[in-house]
Amino acid sequence: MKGYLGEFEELVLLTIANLGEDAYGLAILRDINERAKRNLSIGAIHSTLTRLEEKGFITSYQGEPTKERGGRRKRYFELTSSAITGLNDMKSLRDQLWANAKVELTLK
Amino acid sequence: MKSERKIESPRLARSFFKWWSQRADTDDLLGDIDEYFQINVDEKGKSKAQFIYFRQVLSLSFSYALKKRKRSASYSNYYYPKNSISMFKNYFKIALRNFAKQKLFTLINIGGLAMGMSVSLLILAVLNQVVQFDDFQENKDDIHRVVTNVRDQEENRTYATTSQSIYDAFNNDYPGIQNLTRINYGFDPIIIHQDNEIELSGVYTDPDYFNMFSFDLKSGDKNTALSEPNSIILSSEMAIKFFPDKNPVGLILNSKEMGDFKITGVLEEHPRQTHLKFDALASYSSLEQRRSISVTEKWQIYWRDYVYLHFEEDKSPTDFGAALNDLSAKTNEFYDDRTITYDLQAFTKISPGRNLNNDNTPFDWLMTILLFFMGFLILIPACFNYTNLMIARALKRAKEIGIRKVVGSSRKQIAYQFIVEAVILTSIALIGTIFIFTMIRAEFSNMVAGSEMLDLSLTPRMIGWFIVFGLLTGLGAGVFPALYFSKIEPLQSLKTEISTKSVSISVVRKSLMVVQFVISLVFIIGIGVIIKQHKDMLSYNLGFDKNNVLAVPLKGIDEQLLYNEFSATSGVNSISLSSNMPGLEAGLNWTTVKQTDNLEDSLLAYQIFIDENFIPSLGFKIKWGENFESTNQKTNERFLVNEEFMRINRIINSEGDSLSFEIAGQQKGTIVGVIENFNFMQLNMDISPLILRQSTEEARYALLKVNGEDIIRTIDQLEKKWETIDQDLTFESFFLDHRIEESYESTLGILKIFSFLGALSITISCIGLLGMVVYFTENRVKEVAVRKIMGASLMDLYKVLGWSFFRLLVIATLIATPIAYIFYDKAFVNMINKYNVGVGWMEILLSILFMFALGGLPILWMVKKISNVNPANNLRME
Repeated sequence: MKGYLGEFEELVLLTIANLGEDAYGLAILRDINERAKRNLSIGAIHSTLTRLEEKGFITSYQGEPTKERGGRRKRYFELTSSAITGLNDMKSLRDQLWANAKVELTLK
Repeated sequence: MKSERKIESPRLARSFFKWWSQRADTDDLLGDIDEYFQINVDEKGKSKAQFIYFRQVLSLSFSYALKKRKRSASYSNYYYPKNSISMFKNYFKIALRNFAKQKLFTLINIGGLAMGMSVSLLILAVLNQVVQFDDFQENKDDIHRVVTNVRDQEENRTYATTSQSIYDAFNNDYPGIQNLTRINYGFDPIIIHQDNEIELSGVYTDPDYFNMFSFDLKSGDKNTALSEPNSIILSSEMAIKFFPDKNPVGLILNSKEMGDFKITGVLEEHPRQTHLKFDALASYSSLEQRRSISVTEKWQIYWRDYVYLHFEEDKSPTDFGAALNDLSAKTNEFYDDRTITYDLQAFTKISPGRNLNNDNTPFDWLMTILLFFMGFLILIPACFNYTNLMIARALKRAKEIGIRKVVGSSRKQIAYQFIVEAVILTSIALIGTIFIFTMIRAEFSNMVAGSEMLDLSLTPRMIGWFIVFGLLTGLGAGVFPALYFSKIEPLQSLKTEISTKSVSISVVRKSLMVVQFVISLVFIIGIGVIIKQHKDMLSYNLGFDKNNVLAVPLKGIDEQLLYNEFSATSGVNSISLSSNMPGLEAGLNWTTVKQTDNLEDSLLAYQIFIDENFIPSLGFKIKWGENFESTNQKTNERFLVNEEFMRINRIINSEGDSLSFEIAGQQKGTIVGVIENFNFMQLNMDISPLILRQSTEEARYALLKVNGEDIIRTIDQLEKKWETIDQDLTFESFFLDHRIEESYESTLGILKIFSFLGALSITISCIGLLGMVVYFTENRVKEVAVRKIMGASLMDLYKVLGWSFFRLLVIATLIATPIAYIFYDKAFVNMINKYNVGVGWMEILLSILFMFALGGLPILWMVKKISNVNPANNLRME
């Protein structure tokens, strides 16, 4: 797959995978902010989502209008197969590196 | 949701976001931030949530996500760059084709814009110079000028000059100054060189001058050139004028009244843009040698010398605040009637700078703004013309735009096209303008004060400014047509026939036209007013008889001999001697006058020196007392004053007050007579307190009252008699009334400016009117044909068609007349003539008639043309 997967992009993809059916902009943002103890803005998250979509890692579809958002739709994101391949590549690369590490990496 | 009343997210931020995102789909983004807001309200409170909301909106606005959505929204399926080069090429082509198709309109527009921009271009050229003033001075950031604030009962004013004591004080008492220079503009010798008399306008200054300012010497030694009295340094132009082919250093120049000067240096050429303008520099010691000043005067006279300070590098103006306060306290000991404080003015803020009294630069901000305003008044109508004519052509172009829109042009693209068109047109006009500019440049710079400091030749920098200006004008002129055309509904423009409604001229365009004529009319009335005032000033009764008075400059000839010889000449009725010519400003000097009983109160008054024949010979009226006797007493001088002197000197009210005065701190005197007020200065000056003293030694002119017959013979005789007294001096004579007339030539200068602006303005307006009229004719041929067939007479047609334009002129007149009247009557006329009778209705009426004559021409021409055509031809034409 063309396009290099950055650390943050990987994080976003994994979060989408974690959220499953409920992966829309704000949910992703809140999840990352909570787990990774970051303070990201909506602008930053949507920019990354847009880029991922351009690269073909995710697709999006619009949900039904919901009442609590003042009748506004949510945009849900789904991983594509190339994202799964990419994530796997990333993981195996990491595992390899971990296994071959000459320095003791486990925390004492 | 647990809160019952839902708190709404900030509206302002939300609508900004919606506006910012244009047509991009941002439903989900808005949903996200709104939801986040609600969560934050619950968790962190309302104000914190609002703050976060704003931050989120900002971050989204500049995020890649939004940029991408906006881009894909504006170009439906595929991406292409905004208005690419090929699009611009297309606009260019269409513009040129349109120009070629509409030759008359194009010519009208180019002509109008070229004229309208010409004045702005001149002003831009001046401004370009003004901002560069004194840029070449290396020490400009460390030099300050001492300015004097004077406060008395009447007003506060600030002088650019200051008293000599300030110089002395900084020279001796206060450290921290590197260089210190006085500049005095009193150096105006008349140099006699190879039988020619050449007047120099120079300054007296100190040797530090060259350490402070960046002027170099071509020859001579900077450090010693100004140390000796009576040494002068010539500017390079003057040096070439006097000695074209040799180095003048060491030579002597003889002057008429100020003695000899030794040339100690010649200046290198320097940029013209400096407010320190001079033909020659003379050592300050020459001035001190010529005229000694008492200590009191050194503190009191703050209107003669400019003092410049060059600080040591670590000093700033605030370090001298205390020193200036000290000096102000000391100065105030010498004044009872006014308070004086001193300030520092940075060298870079002098030109252009505040409007100060006695300033040595003509370029203050006020004048710059006035110039700008003037340029604008001419430029705006020209832009209106363009707007007006473009919109008038809307009918012809509506279809073109309709098609473009149907094919898929966005509003923005249509707008761009019209702006490009305007810019192209102004660029063409700019070439014309630059041509006009080079033609009127010389004439214009004669009208502007300080033109000798300006260099209006075309430099690359100036051309750069012009091009930027042209582009901006094009943008300004193109904006309204662009907005108008981009709003056209494609379907309507394609479907409908030309509706009668759109033929009529909209209110906006009518008001633009009215504004143009208002401006023109104000200028034209101005011309009328100035002509009238000029005539009035020449015929004004100055308070004495100026006719048939022949003035002969004495030039140092023995006045008693001359008096005897001249009075025996036939044709000369009477002869008197005077230090000044009444009715002219030249050479009046101030002196202080104190009442002997009350030495505290001093009064500044002008003084002139006359002999006993002056009053009867020129027909001055004595209000009280008597004229001089043939001899005057030395110890208690008898002198005359004018009415104004008595009015200002309020102390003399009761009988008991003494009429004894002390003049200039030494001469005692008594008032023996009061002369009815007369205008001894030009009419733009108020009558001030004046004392007339008897002294033939101070006399500079012989004023001969001659009878009107055979004046040439009389002058011949006078010349012969002059030669019997002194052959070395040349005889010179002129009539007083001619000289007074000449002195009002500055008014003619203003008249020239007004005529120029008025002519431009009315031409532009008429061109605009012509354009409208032509358009109107083209679109109403059928209507007129129908009217004629139905039996309308020529008169009816004139009424129906002419009136719609004529009405605009009437409205313009109704608006312009009061504006012009108030402006000229209340403000303007007083500047050129303090003794005016106001603006009369005659000049206003004539000006209005003039405008109607000019504005009526295109209207009549149009109606005549349209109504002479055979109606059958017009109806058949399809």
